[in-house]
Amino acid sequence: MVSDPVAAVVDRVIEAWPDRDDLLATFEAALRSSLETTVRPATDGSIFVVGGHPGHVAA
Amino acid sequence: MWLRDSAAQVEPYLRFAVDDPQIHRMLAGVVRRHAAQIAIDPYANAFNESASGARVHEDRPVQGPWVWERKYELDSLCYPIRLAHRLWELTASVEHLDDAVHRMLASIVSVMRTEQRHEASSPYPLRALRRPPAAHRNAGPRRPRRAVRRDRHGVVGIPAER
Repeated sequence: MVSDPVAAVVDRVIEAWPDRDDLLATFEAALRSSLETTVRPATDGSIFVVGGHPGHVAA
Repeated sequence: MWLRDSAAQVEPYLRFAVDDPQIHRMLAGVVRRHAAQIAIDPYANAFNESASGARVHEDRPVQGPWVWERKYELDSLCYPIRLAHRLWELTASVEHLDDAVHRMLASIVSVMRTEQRHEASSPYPLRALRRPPAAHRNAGPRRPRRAVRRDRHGVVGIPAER
């Protein structure tokens, strides 16, 4: 069986988190922050998503 | 904005599109942007927010002002299809599948067919004048340079390491 190291780490974080409500609030805050920093609405209704490979100043 | 990366960046929000009209609208907006970008250049994989002329390097033929990088990648064309499909699959909404998206799909299929027979029929050369970004050029340790010496016959040699 192939293990998934990322899933394993996430499981450990969830298990170790003292308060489930606090955990959900933290995840929600992280998702909102990600949206606010990467999503840019344009006047035509489309959405520009800010990306960035390491070393690229882009786009 | 990378075609592939932007689709992956918003994918975690798909599950919320069912109940949240704002999230649904945001995801449909990303699909709309993909369609507009691919209409500009279906061989490009990353685009600027405006027609700024910014670019990662000079590609040949020289890319337009909207294009950050002109590099054909099969996955870059697959991800916009996947996002549009999953949005429909989860919400049953076809609102985002407008004429522009249909043109995007036709353009993607056309490019894929052409590149299956690249040597025979592709107009895409990928003769990029690639220079890695400065951050990449300077990254990582370098071996120290050793002096180059010529012997009396003019033959270049590198001194042995001690």
